[in-house]
Amino acid sequence: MAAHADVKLAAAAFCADLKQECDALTQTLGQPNADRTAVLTRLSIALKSLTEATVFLPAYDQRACAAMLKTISDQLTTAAPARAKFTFASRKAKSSTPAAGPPESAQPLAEQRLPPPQALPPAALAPRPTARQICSNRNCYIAPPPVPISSAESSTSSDVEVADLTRCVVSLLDLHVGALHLKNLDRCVLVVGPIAGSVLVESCRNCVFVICCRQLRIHNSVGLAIPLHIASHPIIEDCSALRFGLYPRAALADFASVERFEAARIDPNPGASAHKTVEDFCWLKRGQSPNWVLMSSDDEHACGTEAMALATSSVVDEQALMDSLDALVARFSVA
Amino acid sequence: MGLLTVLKKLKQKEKEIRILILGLDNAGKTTILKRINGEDISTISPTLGFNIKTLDYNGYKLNIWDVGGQKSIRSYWRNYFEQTDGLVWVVDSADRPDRFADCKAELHSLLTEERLAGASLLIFANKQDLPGALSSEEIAKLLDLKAIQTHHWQIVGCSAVTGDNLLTGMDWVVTDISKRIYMLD
Repeated sequence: MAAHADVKLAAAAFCADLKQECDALTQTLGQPNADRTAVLTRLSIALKSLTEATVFLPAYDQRACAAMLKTISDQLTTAAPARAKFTFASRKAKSSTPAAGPPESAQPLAEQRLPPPQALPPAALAPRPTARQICSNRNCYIAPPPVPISSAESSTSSDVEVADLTRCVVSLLDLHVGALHLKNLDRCVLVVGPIAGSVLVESCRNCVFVICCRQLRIHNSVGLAIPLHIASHPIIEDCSALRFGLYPRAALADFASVERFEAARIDPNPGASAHKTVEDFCWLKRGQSPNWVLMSSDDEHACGTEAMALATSSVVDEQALMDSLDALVARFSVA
Repeated sequence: MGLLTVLKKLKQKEKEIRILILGLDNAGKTTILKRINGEDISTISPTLGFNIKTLDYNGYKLNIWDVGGQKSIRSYWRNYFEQTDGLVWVVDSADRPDRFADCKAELHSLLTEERLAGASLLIFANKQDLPGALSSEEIAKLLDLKAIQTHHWQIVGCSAVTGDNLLTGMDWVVTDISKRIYMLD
């Protein structure tokens, strides 16, 4: 499948390149004293590349590209200065022949369709008050203060972003999370209760995530161990060495109570969890993807309960906490 | 019966509209489709491939195509462009700021696509039920929608989970398309 994706990309890239070249050529042709031989040379080079590209180019694109080049070559011939016909007309009449300029009709269509340049809106966004951010930290224990789960409705839950952490233990058990974004985490342990929405993991390495959610997407990550309870099929893209297991509900006790599952509208029955049917977007063949495995039942139990113990530990000794973090990561999530 | 009458009758029989739903991953495309179709939305997995639904709507037959939005399969979107009457672009209004940049780039590159040239463009600012959601005006600004002059477009704030405004949006897109295609009727 990877090869197919490459072909698609190559076709798209080729079309884009050719379009750019054509636009450049029409623009050159539009100028009053365009160098026609240069345009002709570039046109023939483009034509040659198109012929070569027919190997991978779909029929539609072949036609479209050929049509683009045809337009240019038509323009080139019509815009060519009309060669003066040899006649015995008087000198006066000959000199009155207007210098052939580019015909009006040859104006490139593409240029007319381009939107007028406009000032871009300021990219800076005011931080949203409801979105929580935990970022840029290392070697520490992070547990945001509990938020009272008053109405236990998904409408009161907030998005949480956890980013750029190295060697941290993060406990989100006391939070009522709507959607969770994890980005650039290295050697971290993160534990969270039932989430009504989705979890997006991007560029994480050697972590243990204990997650319960509706949807899970993992991108560009290596070496994760994920005890998981999920309502839909988890998907992975450009990942390797991922290990999935069962969510340690027993160890989580109150944090994963039936009420909290119900608040997130997720079936608490372990049999309803789809954590075993991971879909790898980079492995569309039949058979098991080499990029992920299921943990053995001993491992998933140990991994889940130990991560849980770390996240809820009241150990004051930071060194001891970091040591157990390292041990956990080394045991379960090193690629 | 004259030929014109025969043609008109044939045309009336199949007032088909083809709608393509696209957007980044986790925008809620499948949820919107299933919600409109009245299906269960609690166990939707990220789409690997595509879903098609055909439904009757105000006398039109809508063929709605929902194509997965994961990065690795976005290059396949172009396979679905042909004969599209309406493009529905779905945005997660509560998304991270860096993903809005992605979203804008993907949308604007779609709009240069020749095969989508005639399509009406509906932007669904989805997930308005979430507390962190941006308003449709803010999203219009972020995606630089004002710069779009090649397509008829409209932005509608909605929530697939509650079902708010989904029909408003679909009404707009169907009306806009039918004005264009079936203006003779």
